[in-house]
Amino acid sequence: MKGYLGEFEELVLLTIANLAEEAYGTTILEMIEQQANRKMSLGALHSTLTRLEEKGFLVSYLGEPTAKRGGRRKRYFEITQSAKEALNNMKSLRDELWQNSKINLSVG
Amino acid sequence: MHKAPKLATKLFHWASGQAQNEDLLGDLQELYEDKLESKGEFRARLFYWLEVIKLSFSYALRKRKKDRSFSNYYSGQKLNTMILNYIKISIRNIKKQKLFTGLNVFGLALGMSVALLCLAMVSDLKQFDRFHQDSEDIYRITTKLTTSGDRNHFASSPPALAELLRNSTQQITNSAVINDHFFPTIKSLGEPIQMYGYYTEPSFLELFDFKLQRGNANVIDNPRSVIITHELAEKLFNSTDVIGKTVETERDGIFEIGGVLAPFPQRTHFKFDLLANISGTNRGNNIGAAGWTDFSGNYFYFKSEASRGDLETIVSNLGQSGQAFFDLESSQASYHVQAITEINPGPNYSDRIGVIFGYDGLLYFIGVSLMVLIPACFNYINMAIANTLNRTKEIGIRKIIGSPNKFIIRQFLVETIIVCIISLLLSTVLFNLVKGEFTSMLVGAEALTFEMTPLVIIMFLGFAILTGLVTGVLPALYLARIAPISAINNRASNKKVSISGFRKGLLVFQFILSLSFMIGIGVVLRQYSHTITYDPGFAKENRIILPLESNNVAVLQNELQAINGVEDISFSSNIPGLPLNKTNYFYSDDLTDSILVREVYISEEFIDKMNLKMVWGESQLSDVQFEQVLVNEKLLSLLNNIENNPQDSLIRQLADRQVQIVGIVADYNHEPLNERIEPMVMRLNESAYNYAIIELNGVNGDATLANIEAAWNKLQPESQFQPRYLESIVAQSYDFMFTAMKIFGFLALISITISSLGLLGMVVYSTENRRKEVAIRKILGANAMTLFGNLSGMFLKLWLIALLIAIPGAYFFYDNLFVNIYNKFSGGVHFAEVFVSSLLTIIIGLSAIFWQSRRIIRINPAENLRND
Repeated sequence: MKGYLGEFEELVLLTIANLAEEAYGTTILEMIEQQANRKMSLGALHSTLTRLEEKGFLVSYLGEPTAKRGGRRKRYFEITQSAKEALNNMKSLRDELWQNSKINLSVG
Repeated sequence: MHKAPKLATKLFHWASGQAQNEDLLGDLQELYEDKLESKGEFRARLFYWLEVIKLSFSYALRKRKKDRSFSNYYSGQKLNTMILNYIKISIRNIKKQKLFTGLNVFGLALGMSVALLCLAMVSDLKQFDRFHQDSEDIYRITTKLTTSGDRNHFASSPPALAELLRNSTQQITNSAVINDHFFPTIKSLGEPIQMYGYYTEPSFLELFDFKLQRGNANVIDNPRSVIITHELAEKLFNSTDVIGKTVETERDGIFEIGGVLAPFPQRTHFKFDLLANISGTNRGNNIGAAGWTDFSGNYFYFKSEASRGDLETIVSNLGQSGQAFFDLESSQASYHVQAITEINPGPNYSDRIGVIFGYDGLLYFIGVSLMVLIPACFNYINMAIANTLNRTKEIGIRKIIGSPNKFIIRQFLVETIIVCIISLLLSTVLFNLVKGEFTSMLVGAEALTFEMTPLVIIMFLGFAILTGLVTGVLPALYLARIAPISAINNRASNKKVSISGFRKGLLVFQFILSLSFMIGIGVVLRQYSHTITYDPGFAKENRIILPLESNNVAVLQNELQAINGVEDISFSSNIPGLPLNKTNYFYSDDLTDSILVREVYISEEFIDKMNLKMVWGESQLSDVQFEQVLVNEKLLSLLNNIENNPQDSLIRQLADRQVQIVGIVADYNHEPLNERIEPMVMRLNESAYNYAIIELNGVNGDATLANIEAAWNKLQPESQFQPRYLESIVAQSYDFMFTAMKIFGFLALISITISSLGLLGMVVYSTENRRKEVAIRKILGANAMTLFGNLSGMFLKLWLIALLIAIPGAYFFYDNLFVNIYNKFSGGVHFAEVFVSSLLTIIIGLSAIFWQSRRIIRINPAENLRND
C-alpha cells in the first residue's frame, strides 16, 4: 500500500531528518543502534531504504569518496515532501489519540 | 584504512553482478573499521562476513540488479523494443537505398518463386490420401523380387497372398483387392474416350472415403455393372442421374451403370473413371502358381490397427508359402507393408498404381529450385557486402555508443528478413502466375491443387524468414567485424580492390546458367519451326477432319462428294499427325517372334488422297481370300526374306488371323515428330472408321463448309458438326513445345536477371573501392575510359571462361540428350542462338559496368580525397 508508513520506516525517516546533511548508510545504522537501541544488519537497513525510495519518500545521490571507506563514494539520502506529509499525518494521528485517551497515559 | 576480508569482498562483487555496489561496500568498510576499534580483529572479520552474506540476499541488492538489467544500453529482457527498433532502422535503410533494395527484392523474388512452387507441391503431397477415415491404419502390400541378383520393388502383390491374409488374419478389419489393367475405350461423339478403370470389389468403397452419390456399392457384385465417377457421368451424359444407362466399350462389351460417385478430393493417388467387379474377370486370379508369380497390376489394400512391425512379420510368414512358385522362376520374393499416407511422396516402385510423385523427381525439382535460389542469395550477399561503404559510419557510431557485435548482427539479419518478406510478396504473385502452367506440363499434376491454406501461407513465411537468416548471416558477420575506429574513419577493414576467386567463380556459374537457358530457348524455337514446316509425308493442306458418329460411310460419302468444292473423301480410324493408340502383333515367318505394330484402319482411297507414296505393290485393298493389308518400310525391314519367296512370304500372321501384304508404303510420320516411325500396318475395316477426311479444292472454303454442314445436318440431325482443319490439328499437337519454351523462357529470364544483378553487385563493389584511385587518376588527367577498360577487362575474362564452358556443354546437352528425346527434330544448337545469347549477356554486362563507371567518374575528385 503506497503511502503507508511502517513503524521502522518512520524511525528511519526521522533518523534521516535528524542527520540532515550527513545521512548515509553507516550513520543511519549507528544512530538507530544508539538512539533506539536496536540491532540490525546493513542489508536490512538498505532494503528498507530501497523500499522507501520506491515509495517516493526518499531520494538519494552519490557523494565524494573518502579514505576511510577505501576510496568509495557515499550514498546520501534526503527525505522528500511526501515523506514530510506522511510523517505529519502520522504525528497528528498520534497526538489526537493521545489527547483523546480516556485513560491517563502519563507514567511516574 | 584497514583491509577488509578480501574473499568476502570478492564474494560480494560476484553476488552483485552488474549492480552498483560501491556505496554498500563503503558503508561496510566504515562499519568494519568501527568494529575493529571496539571489538578486535576476529569479531570484526566475522561481523564483516555476516553482513556481506545478509546484504547479498537483501532486497536492496536484488532490486539494484533488476534495475541494472533495464539499462538503456543493455537490452536483455526488452528484446521486443529492440526488435521494433531494428525494424524501424531497417525500413529507413531500405527506403534510403531504393535501387539496392529494388534489385535485391526482384532477384530474391525470382529465386524464391520456383522454391515456393516446390514447397507448395510438397505440402500438397503430404495431404495425399489423408481424407480417408483412419488413413494411418490403411496399408498396402509391396513385393520385392530378386531374380539372379536383379532387385526390383513392385507396388503390386500376389493375389494369392491377399487371399491368404484375408482368411487367416484377424487383425485385418477391412480390405480390398484392385486390378488396374482396365482401360475401356468408350465410343462417344465419334471421338473415342480412353478411360482408366479398376477391377475391384464393393469393400473398396468402405475402405476408402469415396462416397456414392447414387446407387450402392454392392452393384459391382454384378460383373456387368460399373460405378462411375461424377466427372465421367457429367462428361458422357451431362447429368448424374444415369443409373441404369449403359456405356458401350470397344473391347470390354456393354456395362450398365449401377452407381455414381460424389465428387471426391483430388488429393489421392488413385486415378480412375470407373470401377468394375474383379471376380467376373480373369484378373486377380489367386489360385496356384499364377496366383503368386503373375501379380502384375494386382494390389491389396487393407486396414489394420496392428503395428507395422507385426504386420510385416505376418505378411512375411504367409508369403513363405508362395516361395515354391518363385523358385521355379529362380527368383526370391519378399513382402512389405506400406502405409497409404507414405505413397506420396514416396519411393518409385515398379508397376505402380495411380499418381505417384517419387522422391527422385522431387529431389530433382528441389535441385532446380535451389539452383535458382542459391545464386539469388549469393547476389544478396555480394551486394550487401559491396554496399558496406554506405553503412560503415552507421556501424562505427553504433559501436562507439556501446553496441555489442550481436546487436549489429541482429540489425542486419532483421534487414535481410524484411527484404526476404517483401520478396515473398512479389514471389507469391509470380507463383500464382506460373502454377497453372506448371500443373499443365506435369503428368498427373491435376491432383495438385496448390491451395493457399493458412498452413501453406505460414510455410511460405517461414521459408522467407529462413532464407533471410541464411542469406543475412554472412554480410551480418562481415559488417559486425569492422573495427569501430576504421569504420568511423570510413576505412572499411577489407579494402581489397580485387574480387575474390570465389565470387568470380559464382559469376561464371551464373553466366553459364543463363547462357544455357538462352541457348535452350533457341533450340526449342528452332525445333518448333522445323516441326511445323517439316513434311510429314502426307498432305495436310486444305483438308477437313470430321468426327464420325454413324458407320454409314457410304451414304455420307455420296452426299458430300456431290457438294461443289469437295475434291475427295477418305476415311480413317486415326487422324494423321496424332499419336496412334491401337497396337497389334505381327508374327515373323516361323511364328516364333512377334513384332509390335501400330494399327490404322483406312478406306481404299486413303493412300491416294493423302498423297502417300508407295514403294511397291497396290494401294487398293480388298478382302478376297485373305485380308489384304499394307505395311510400312519400317515393318518390312523387320520382316525377313520377303524377296526370296514372294508368294508365300506375303501371307503373314497378324494376331490370330492370316493377312496378305499387298503393298509397302514409304515411311511417313503418321505420329507426331517426337515419336519414332514405328512399324505400322494399315487395314481395311469400314466399321472402325472414326474420321472422315475431306479434301477441299481450296476455293471459297467457307461456302463449301456451309454446304457440308447442311448435308451433315440432313443426314445426322442429332449429332454435332465439328469440322477442323487438319493443318491446325497437327499444329496443335505441338503445343507441348510451347510449354517447354515457356519453362526455358522462365528459367532463362530468372537466371539472366539474377546473374545481371550479381554482376552489377560486383561492379558496384569494385568501383566503390576504387573511388580514390579514380579520383587521383582524374586529377592527373585520366579519362573515363581507363576505369571502364580496366573493369571490362576483368568482366570479359570471366565471360570468356563462361562461354568456353557453356557452349560445349550446351552442344552436348541439347544435341545428344535433348534431341534424342525429341527424336526426329533437326540438329540442336546452332550458331545463331549461341551468338544471340552471348551478345545479350555481354551487352548486359558491359552496360552495367558502363553505368557504374560513369557514376563514379562523375563524382568530383575533391569529394573523394578531401578526408585524406
